[in-house]
Amino acid sequence: MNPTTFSRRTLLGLGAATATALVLPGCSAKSGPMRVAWYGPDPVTKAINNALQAWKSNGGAEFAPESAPFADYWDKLATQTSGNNAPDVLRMSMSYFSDYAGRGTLKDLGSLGINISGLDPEVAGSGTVDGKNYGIGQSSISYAMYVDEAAVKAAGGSIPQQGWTWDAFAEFAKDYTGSVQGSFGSSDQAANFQLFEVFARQHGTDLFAEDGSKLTVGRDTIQEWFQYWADLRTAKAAPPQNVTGEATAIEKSLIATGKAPLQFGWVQQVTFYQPLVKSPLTVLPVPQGEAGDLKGQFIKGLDLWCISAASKHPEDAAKLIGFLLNDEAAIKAIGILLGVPPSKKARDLVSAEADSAGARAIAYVEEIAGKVGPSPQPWPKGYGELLTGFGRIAENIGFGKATPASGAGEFVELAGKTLGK
Amino acid sequence: MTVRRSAADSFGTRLRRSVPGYLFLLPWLIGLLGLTVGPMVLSLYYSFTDFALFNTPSWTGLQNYLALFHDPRYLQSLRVTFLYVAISVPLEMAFALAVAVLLNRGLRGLAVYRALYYVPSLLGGSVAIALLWQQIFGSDGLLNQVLGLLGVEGRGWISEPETALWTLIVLRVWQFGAPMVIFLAGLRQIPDDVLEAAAIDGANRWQRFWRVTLPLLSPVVFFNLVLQIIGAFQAFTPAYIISGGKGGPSDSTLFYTLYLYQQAFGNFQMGYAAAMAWVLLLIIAVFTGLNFVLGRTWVFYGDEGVRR
Repeated sequence: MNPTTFSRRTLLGLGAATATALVLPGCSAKSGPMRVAWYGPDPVTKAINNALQAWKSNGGAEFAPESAPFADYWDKLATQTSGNNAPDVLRMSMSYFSDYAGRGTLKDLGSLGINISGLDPEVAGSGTVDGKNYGIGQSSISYAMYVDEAAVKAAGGSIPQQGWTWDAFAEFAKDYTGSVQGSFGSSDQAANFQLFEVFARQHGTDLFAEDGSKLTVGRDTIQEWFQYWADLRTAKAAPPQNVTGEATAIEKSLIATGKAPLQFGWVQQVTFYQPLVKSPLTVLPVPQGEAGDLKGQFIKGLDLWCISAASKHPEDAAKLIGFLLNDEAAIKAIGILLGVPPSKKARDLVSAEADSAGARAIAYVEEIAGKVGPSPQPWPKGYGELLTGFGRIAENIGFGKATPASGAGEFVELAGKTLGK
Repeated sequence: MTVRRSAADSFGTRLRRSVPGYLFLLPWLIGLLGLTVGPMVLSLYYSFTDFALFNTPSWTGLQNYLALFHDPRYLQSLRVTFLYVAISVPLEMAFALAVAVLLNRGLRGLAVYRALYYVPSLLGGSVAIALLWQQIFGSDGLLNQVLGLLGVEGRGWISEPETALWTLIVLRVWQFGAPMVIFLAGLRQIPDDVLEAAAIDGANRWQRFWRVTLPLLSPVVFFNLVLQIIGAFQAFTPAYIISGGKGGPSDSTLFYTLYLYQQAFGNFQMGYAAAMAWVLLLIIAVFTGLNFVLGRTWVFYGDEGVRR
């Protein structure tokens, strides 16, 4: 046989090999290293990577990190989970927790022996559903506003110690607008479903029924909320909708571009904004119905470490979670980027850096701890859809395509369709 | 050995003879069955169920399909998509044809121009260009800066619902290069003697274009039209990137495919999304079919010239 020509048998063999090569990756068991996934902006990714380095130098098992911005993370995780290919250790947000836990995609951590002895019990148990623990809180967080006090003073205003009432806040915002060329007293928060939760609780009801089957906040409260921000926009105390639409990224936010003196968000997010603002940001409670009444706010673990039900490395995954929660180097690397640390030990370690934005955030949570209301139940299945729906409706109102009344009705209808499925 | 095709060959012989052929086809066949046909059949099945990504699907009949027509956001996505197709496709085609005709006049450096105009088509659907678009049409963007120099006050082209879709239409028209190259190839096929004959008969340039060039080019126009309509219905990336996945502002860029994606991967409504996908297939099929039927009245193929 001429060695340079293929025999029929060689060819057949090649064909079979090609076919096998094509098929094999599809069905072979995945036995790579443990995968660790999380969401968050760059600073979070850097911090967790540093903590993972500490894990590695302590002789921890091999791992492969995956990170993405919040919105993209959920698209990816949904696809991975349905393909039985979810990461082993994953960061879970309360916004989607019930969707995943309720569908059996998360492991019960009860028997894996993760050391949670030093954790605040409320945070450690924030992932407990029907006696099973599907996730361990990474932090305790609360809603807050961050104010550029220097800018307020320069405009001749002042900041009340306990934050504003909603009425006083509207007055403040109107006065501030125009004190600096092209500035607004507040960013527009009409689309902020999480700030609205505080507002709803100030009006006497939680957002959802205990079992998550329906909306309990009244339609009139929703309407009042949309109307409040519509009035601020009319008074030019808050920017028009198209400006808000371009200010969603942290670095384009009004406070970062000097067009507003304040921003709302979860307390730890002050550390994302602080590097973009020259003077220190003061952390305050969000506006209240009655001055000093913080019952609308709550402190809760809203981000969790979970292990996917399909994980092939549950023991290593559990060890890693224990490490991230308890090891000094990991705690220091993470700081408050995931929220106020969930143990006394960690808080002491992190607040040691006096007068950092992180220390101010921790001080804020400790300060309001005795004054806030009881924590709501885990957000129900379908929360993610309501979160984006609320924002969309607020946007429609902002562009004059809906009224506060019709928008409130639309949201009630959406909640009726989404909840209790 | 000579290949002999005779009816006398038994079925077994023919089968044995074709085995190597099928073996060579195998990699492609596996892809076709596993990655295209299989998922399509599954998605057809899911479209009749309440599949929500993590549950076991249960049969719900036509419910998903019926729900579509009571879903205001679905209807909005239809409106946006039809508007997009109806405006961007004719504009893009006209642009492509005009540039192709200009380039066909024997310019020096034709290859360079051709490549230059074709580049946007290669890049146009990409994330990078969508991000660039965001910069150009943002309220502090390039366009407003240029307008500012001219003393015109700009607006937030992307952040206002009245104009956002138009930026996407411009983006599509800007990618006229692909149909242009095909037009150019078509123009090259038109014999000079026909045009010369028309010129001798006294037809001016305009008449020659409408009476000779365009009819002879009509099969190419038809081909481009069919492809562009299908492509425009399936547009996704630019809207996804420019609106941050939301289809905003105020659902003004909520393309059909984008809403489908939101339902599938945002809200986990896989059954509903599958139903949407099949309706889109149907819409595209109807449009393509309509194109072929209408095409008979205006598409002129050289080989039927004698009969006409």
